[in-house]
Amino acid sequence: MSPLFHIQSHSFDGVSVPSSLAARRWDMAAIGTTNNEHLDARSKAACAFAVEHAQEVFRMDFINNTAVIDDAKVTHGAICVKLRGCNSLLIEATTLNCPELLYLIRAARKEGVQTISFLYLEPEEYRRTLKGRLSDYRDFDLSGNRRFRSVQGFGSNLTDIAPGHAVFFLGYEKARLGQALEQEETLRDWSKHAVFGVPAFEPSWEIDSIANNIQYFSASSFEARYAGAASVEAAYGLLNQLMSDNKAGIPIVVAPLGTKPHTIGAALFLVEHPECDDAILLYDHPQKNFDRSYNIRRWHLYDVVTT
Amino acid sequence: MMTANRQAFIRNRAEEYGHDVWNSYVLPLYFDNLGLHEARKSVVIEGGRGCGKTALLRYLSFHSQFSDSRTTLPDTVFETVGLYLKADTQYFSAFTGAGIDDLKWRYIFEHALCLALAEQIIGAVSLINCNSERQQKYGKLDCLNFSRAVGGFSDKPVPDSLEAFSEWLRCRRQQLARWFRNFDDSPPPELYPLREFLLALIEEIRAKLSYMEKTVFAVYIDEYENLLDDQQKLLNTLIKGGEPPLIFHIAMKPNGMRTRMTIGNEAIQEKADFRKIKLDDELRPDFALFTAELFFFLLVKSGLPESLTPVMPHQLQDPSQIKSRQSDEKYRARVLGEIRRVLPGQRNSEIAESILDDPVLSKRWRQLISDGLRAQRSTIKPEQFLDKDFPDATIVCASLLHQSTKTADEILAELKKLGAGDPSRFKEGDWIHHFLIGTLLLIYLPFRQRPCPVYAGFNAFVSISSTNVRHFIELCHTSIGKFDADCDFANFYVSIEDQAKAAFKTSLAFKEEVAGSGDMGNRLLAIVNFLGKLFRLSQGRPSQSEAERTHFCIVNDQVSSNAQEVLNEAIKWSVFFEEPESKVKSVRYESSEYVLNPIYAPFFGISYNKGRKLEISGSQAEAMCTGSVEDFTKMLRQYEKQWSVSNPDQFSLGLES
Repeated sequence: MSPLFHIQSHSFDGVSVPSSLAARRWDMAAIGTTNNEHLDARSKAACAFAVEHAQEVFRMDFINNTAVIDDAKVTHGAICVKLRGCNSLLIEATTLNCPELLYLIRAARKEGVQTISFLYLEPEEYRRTLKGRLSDYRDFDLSGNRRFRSVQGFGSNLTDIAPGHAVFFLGYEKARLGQALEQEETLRDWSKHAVFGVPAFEPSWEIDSIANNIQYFSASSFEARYAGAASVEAAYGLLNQLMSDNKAGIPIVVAPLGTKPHTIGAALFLVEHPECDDAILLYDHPQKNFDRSYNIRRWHLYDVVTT
Repeated sequence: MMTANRQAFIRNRAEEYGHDVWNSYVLPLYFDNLGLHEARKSVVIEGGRGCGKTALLRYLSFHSQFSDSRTTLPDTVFETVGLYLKADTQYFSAFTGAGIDDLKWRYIFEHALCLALAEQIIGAVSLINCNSERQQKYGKLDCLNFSRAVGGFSDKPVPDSLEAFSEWLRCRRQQLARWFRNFDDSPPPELYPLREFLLALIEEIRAKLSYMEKTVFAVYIDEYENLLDDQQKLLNTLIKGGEPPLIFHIAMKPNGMRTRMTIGNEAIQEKADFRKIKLDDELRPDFALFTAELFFFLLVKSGLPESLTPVMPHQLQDPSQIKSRQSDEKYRARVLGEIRRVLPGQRNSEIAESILDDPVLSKRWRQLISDGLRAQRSTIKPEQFLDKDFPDATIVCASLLHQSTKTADEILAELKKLGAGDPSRFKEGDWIHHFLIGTLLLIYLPFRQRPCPVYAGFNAFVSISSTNVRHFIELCHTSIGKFDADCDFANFYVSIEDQAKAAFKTSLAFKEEVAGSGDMGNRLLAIVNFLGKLFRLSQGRPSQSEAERTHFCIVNDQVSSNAQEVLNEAIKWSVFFEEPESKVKSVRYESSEYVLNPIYAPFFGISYNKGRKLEISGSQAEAMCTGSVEDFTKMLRQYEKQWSVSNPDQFSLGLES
């Protein structure tokens, strides 16, 4: 069965708006929260682009397990109403997180939005660490880690279903995989896959991802897999390949804990397989840590159409 | 027969043994104190990580008690049937928000819990009758009519038979899951009231199955701390209203009960509504014997002939043998003696001797002696403090010479008295007792690549594990790896070096694991790294005047509620242990002491004993719990300056891995 979504990727080096995107227009754009004083440069630039290039812009959030649009709590039905009649939707993925992406894609699909575009801006640099010193940042990573909590519409009771595949998209933050394995001990019996962003956004960054997660691989067996850090297509394709190889129809748990393009790919996959126990989200709702990245290195636009 | 090399200690979590632990569970020596089987009031089992909560509950649950590997079922086993439930946290924690009010979510949670427990009750009845022999002895399942028992709760027909009812329950569960996937577009499923539904089921079973006519069903909810507040309130309500034939028990980490409220206006009270059992306190008195027994039990399970060990596994699994295991001193001595042979350690005086014989370590000793003499402007030669007949006293001189209250002449005079067999402050004045371990660690501190024997040996492993069975098993696993059950076991032992290396490796692994500890994992790991570095700085002070610092207190206990929340979380995850304060230097409020979990000691090169206390101010505690990376750095540098640790690499702790 061929995948539901066709993805076309466009990447542009540089800080300012790429000339090829200057003329693009969308009916609507969804952006993440913008009222944070610590909003980083790339988030500001991405939101400004969305505001500039869409006829209508709305702000979306996911607070206390509830979708919120422009400060009002909304249901899936209300999001569908919001997108009704929209032909092209820009989803600003630099500021939006996995739950918002899922809700937007699901509603857009239901409402027959022809083109869904995702914008993502890569940072120039992440805050680096000093090793083995009193002030070792790696030892004092204070980014808030959160409880794994399923998102209604994409979760399932893992203790009730037969073991299947668990696919972890991994990134720089080492605690997230450990937290997942600690909280979801039921996954011990599952076939686990660790997906690293290779090639990474920048050469050598993949080493950080691997080094920060390697401790968990000795306690539990993982199959290592690779998908370009900036490739939505690769992440989406990897999951669909797993699904089509999965003759027994066992469930696939998807944990998007890595790069944003991987999260977009995972979200597309999860929306594509809405059946109970086919594809299940495992997500920890991390708090944004805006002051961890600097500047803008590259712009990515992913155009997604339903095949 | 040749047996393959097996990793006897690879499984260190109860979850890895499945629900039926009948053949793999070693009865802890405190088992008789619990009285859970006879309990007719709720019990709250509190225990830190790895103390055996899950294994205990699984042992008490019907999966083990009615295990198909049990050849006969004693009549007493029917008195209480345990139902074990560990909720899928990520699933149940999403039972909130999404435009559905809290009351509705509570009903949905109650329904989900009801279905899960109903399935367990049916599962228990099925397991009792899992084979033809048992069916013949017990049976009578045809008499059960579930339609009559609970049919009134559903608008749709409920099947009569056990098998069909089991399938019906499964479908109800799937219906709930389907709604959860698609709840925006579909009406919520039919919801059942937990207590009424389960009591109706139980009534039917008690009425129809004579062998269960007096059975009390005990629900064991594991990891209660992971439930949302409203879900805890529902459980608290069930605890408060629990009485035979349906009682609710819970297991949780320390500080796991965030609210004592029920869904009404009442709160649950200890003693009146529940009895609290602190498993760590129960485990502590016989922890060494229990871990030793477990060690041999696991070796036997991996193929070692029972006759080669000092234990008999069937005795370790027999409740009637607990008393004799506890009281038979010869047995205790035999078991502990044998494990000390397999996991040998060195006495501190032996470690001192080996330091003096080692060119690198003795050079370090000599350097410390010389530095101390230089600081005192003494003309005594370093060699004069070397007395190989008294290696422990010799080693201790390396720190005594840095203590401002003692002169080189005085120390040398005491050493000479010791050599002459006269009373000396080294022994009678407790210098060796107070400063030896600290000085041994001080000498080893810069040499992280060298396995430190202080952390080797069964006694050290027990101390490092505190009351964490998982930590002990992992220390053994890392030390031994694959075990050849065909080995010459009478001569089998693990070298001190291998044990010390394993202690370091295990310590590092568990330290890193802290990042995955709950909502504040990263903060807790940062606190471990901060305290570890702080105590390492203290350990690096040549005087050792505040020896073996591994715990702290907060002066006047004044911290914000946010910081207190972090402290509670650290206790919950056993990052440190809270104890009432022992010695108070000045007049101030009575407070708590926080002891860093000794599992982190080998990584940081600090003591696993609870030595001298560090008093930190409220503002420092506040910074540790809620501050930034810069606050950590600032505090560490302040202490470094205050303690004037001489270190060739300024601001480096030599912790690079």
